[in-house]
Amino acid sequence: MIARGFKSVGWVAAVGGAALGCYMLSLRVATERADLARVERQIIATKHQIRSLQTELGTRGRLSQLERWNADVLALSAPASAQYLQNEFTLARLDRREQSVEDRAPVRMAAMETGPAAPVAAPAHEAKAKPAIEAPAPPAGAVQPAVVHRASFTPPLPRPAAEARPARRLDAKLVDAVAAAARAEKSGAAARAEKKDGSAGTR
Amino acid sequence: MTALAAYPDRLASAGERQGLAVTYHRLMLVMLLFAGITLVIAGRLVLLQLLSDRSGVAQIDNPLLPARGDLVDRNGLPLARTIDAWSIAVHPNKLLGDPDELAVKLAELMPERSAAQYRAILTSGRSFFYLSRRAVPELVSAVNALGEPAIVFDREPERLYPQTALAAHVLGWTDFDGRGVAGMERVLDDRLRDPALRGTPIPLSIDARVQAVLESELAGAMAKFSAIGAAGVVLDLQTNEVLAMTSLPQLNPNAPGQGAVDAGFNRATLGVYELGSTFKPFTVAMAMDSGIITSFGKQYNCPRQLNVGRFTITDTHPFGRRCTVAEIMKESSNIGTAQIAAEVGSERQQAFLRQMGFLEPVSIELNERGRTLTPGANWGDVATMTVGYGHGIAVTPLHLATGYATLFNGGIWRPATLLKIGPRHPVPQGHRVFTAETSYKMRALLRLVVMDGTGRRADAPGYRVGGKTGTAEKIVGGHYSSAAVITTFAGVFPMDNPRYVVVAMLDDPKATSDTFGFHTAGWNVAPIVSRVISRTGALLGIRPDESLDARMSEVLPFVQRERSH
Repeated sequence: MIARGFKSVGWVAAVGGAALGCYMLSLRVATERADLARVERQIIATKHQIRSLQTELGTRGRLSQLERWNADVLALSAPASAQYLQNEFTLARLDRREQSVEDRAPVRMAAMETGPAAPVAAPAHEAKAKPAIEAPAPPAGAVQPAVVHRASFTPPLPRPAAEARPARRLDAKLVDAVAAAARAEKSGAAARAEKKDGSAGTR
Repeated sequence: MTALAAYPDRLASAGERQGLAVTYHRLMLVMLLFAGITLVIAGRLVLLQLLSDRSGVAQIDNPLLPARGDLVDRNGLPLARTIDAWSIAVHPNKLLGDPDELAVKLAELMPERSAAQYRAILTSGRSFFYLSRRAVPELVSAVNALGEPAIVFDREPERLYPQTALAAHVLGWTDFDGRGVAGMERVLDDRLRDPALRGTPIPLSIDARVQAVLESELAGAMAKFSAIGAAGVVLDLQTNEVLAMTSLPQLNPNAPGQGAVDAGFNRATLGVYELGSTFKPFTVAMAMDSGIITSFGKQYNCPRQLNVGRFTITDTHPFGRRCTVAEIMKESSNIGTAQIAAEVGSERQQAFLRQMGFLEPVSIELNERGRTLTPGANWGDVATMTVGYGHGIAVTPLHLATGYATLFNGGIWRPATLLKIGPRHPVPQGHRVFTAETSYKMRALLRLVVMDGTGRRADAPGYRVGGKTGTAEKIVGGHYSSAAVITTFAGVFPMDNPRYVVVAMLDDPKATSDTFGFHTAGWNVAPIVSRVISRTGALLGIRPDESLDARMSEVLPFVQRERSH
């Protein structure tokens, strides 16, 4: 009896719980739906705003206004026909800069060496001024190191035409004889030049 | 049930039992009633739930639908839009404040009416009165600050033209109720207001950039030469789309009532003018199509003046010798052209002009189209000769542009259109007027006019411009007067493969010191065309190239070069 009585209470509780659950669920759905609607309203409002801002921007930046600004401040003009290039070759031809100093006169290298003795010579002068400092006495009669100037210039050698030309027209033996004489002369000159160099230089 | 079963011993007699049955019935009825009501309410709730859900979705799309569709140019730039504007109104019968005080304050804020007028409105006792429509937000907040509850603010759709005066005569304008009253607004009114169609903007054939250049150059020339009006057209001659069309003096469609008196008049499609020598190429083309001219070397006798009946035809550059067709066109000789026209004859000339649509209002969507003026019944020999060089016939500048398009697109006439050509609006079929060969040969002839003839100032380097000048005397007081002229230039570019027609017209330009006292077309409108082409050619997809040109070998052998000017 009691169990039966409680059974109905249980039913009521179960049904009530189920109904409450359903209600909670539908409430939840309704909330979500309301949120969605609010977001959609926001989207619409934003779209409206975008449209009105675009309109305002378009009105402020209208073509006649741009033209007036251009006339007053920018002063831009349409590009002339010469400013349009037809292909990459005309583009490459555009790069015609003025020749610089380097372009007009080819670079020539020059070097100057002062010899290894130079740092030794400097303390020698100081030794005289400050005798307190012991310094190795310079060897008597030391030769002041000569400053060596060396310059190199290699002009483009003109191709000796004499070597090729006569080969065709003259007798081969004669050409050989002339060539041998020339070589002898050249080596003699070179030997003389070396001798001269040796007497002039220190090393 | 448990409640009924609780007292079974009390139901004794038959009478009582019968009473019980009635009670059951009644209870049953009441229960059914309750159940029915509950069911109806539940059903209604379900129905509402379903219906409201759907209507919610529908409402989301609606607010973005403008009250009137947008008009955009061919590149999508908005030319006409509808925005929400504020309106200020008052309910005089619900006024709480002191009308005298309020009238003074309103007059300060909105000075278009006096304080006395505002007072009259506020004390009239009417139920509703608009104080201001299309008010700016600053004014609305200032009026709101007065704190009068009888003054109400509302948002109303307002037509706005963001580019102000740009293409005003093409777009037209609307009245206060948002109905199109002129231009394309009027033509497309039904489509712009149709809820199913107004969501998508309608693209016009206008290119706003070209339109802006044409307007600024024409306005500059109009001011410089003190002209009373100007018109211009840029036409794509393959499709006959109008890329730019303007009529000056300017008009602001945002406030169509303001501005000059004749600003609303569209000179490009409504005004008809004698366009003078710009007609000469048509006459030559008619003669070529009729087999009269087979070579530009054909010679005509060009005396210093030609007497036809009681008329005397003269030239501005008299030859006084025999001259070729090429020379006639180059120096714009009326005498030579009149003789060519006479050979073509009246019937053939009329037939050609009819085929080109010159005898009826111009073919375009707009309602503002002028009737052309022709010799009509008096189309005799003299009329044929004068029409041959553009006198005695008055057409619109747009007629001229479509005529030149016909002449240079291979000879096919098509109606001009202000709607962008696309899948929904294909190129109209058209009909053939001139042969393709005539069309091809005319290129060199008109290029000659610009290279070496009267239209030299129309040349734009690299754009291969060809064209023809036209100076026509205006009729002042019933007589032709050389003091007032209409100057026109019809240009086509690029001449080696024609793509665009540019027509510019000035109404009554005056001579200036720059033009050495001349007021002919070569001095005032030709430079406009040159500048318009050099500013817009590249935008229209024509690359300037000075190495290209029309086949000048067709005409150059027939031009004597000894003259110097």
